[in-house]
Amino acid sequence: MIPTAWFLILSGILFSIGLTGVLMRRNVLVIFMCVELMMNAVNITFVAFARSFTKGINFAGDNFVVFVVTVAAAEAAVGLAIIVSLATKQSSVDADSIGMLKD
Amino acid sequence: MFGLPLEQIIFLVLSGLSIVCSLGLVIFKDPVHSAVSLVLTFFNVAGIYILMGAEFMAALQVLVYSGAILVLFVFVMMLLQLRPGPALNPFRFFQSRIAPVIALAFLAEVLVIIFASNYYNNGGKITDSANTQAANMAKNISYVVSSKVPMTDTQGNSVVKSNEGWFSEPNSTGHTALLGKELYSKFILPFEICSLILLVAAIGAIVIGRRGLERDRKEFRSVGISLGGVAEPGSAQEFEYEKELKMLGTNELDKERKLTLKK
Repeated sequence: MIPTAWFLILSGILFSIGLTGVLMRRNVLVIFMCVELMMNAVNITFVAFARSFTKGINFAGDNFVVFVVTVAAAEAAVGLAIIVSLATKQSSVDADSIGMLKD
Repeated sequence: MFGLPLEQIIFLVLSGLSIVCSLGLVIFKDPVHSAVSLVLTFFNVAGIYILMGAEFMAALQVLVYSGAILVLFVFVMMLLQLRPGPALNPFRFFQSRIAPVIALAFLAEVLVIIFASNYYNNGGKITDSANTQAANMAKNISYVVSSKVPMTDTQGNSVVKSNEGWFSEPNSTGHTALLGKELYSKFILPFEICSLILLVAAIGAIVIGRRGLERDRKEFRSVGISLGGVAEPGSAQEFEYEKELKMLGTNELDKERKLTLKK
C-alpha cells in the first residue's frame, strides 16, 4: 500500500511548482493556471489525509474536495471575465503593464 | 519487479509524469502549450486519485477541471489571440531567478513537516504503509458485481441499516455511494451554498464580461443640477445644462433630451 507521506510529498512538490509559476510568469492566464495547479495539490492532500485513518471511515476530506472544485470553477469563470475585459481595454495580457489605477 | 509493490511503482510513474507536466506548464512560452501540459497533469492526478480509491474524485477532476475549466481557458486564449510571450525584461530577469528559490524554500518547509511527523508517529520509520485506510478499504470494496457485497466497515460495524421509513441506507460501499451519503446528510448546507456560489459566479461573469449597451451608457449620465425647469442665465443650473448639451450625440434619446434642455 502507498504510504500517506508519498501523497503529501507529491502535493508539496506540485504546490511549489505552481508557486514558481505564479511568481515567474508574465502572462496573466498562465498565472491563473498555476493557481489552479496549486488548488489541485491541496485536493490531493485532503484525500490523502482522509485515507490515512487506521480506524473507521472518514470521508470529510473527499467531501471538501467537491467544494474546492466548485469554488475553483466559480473563481475561474469570474477571473476569466475580468481578464477578458481587461485585455480588451489594453490589448495585452502582460501582468507588468496593468497600471490603470496607478498615479 | 523493482522490489516494490506494483501499486507503488504505478504511483511513482504517475507522480513523476505529473511533476514533469507541471514543470512544462511553468516553462513553456506559448500559453496554449501550458494549457495542454496542465491537462496532462490533471489526467495523471486523476490516475493517482483512482489509486487512492477515490474514483469520484478522478471523474470530477477529468470532467470539471480538464473538461470545463481548462476548455474555458483555451477559449479565452482563442478570443484574445494570444501569441507566445516576449523575452524577459530586466526587472523580470531578477525575479525569474528569485522565484524558484522561494518555491524551493517553501518545499523544504513542507518536506520537513512531513518527515518530522511521520518519523514520530511510526516509531522511527518514515512511513507505515500496511495499516492505512486505503489498505483496509481495499479489502472490503469489490469492483465486480458479485453476490458478496461488503456489509461492514473496517471496524465490524454494519453499514446496512434496516429499511425503516424512507431513510434506508445504501447497500454498496463504493466510493461514490459513501461520498454521496455524507455529502447529502452531513454536508448538505455547504452543498446548497455551493449552488449559490455557482449562481453568483455565473451572474458576475456575465456582468463583468459584457460590453455595455449604448443605451445603458447614456441613460444614467449624471448631471450636477437638474431641476427640469427654465434655467436663469448665469446660474449653476444653466452651466450644467450646457455641459450636458455638449455631451449629447445624435441618438433618438439625445434629440429628445436636447429639446427638453433648450426649453
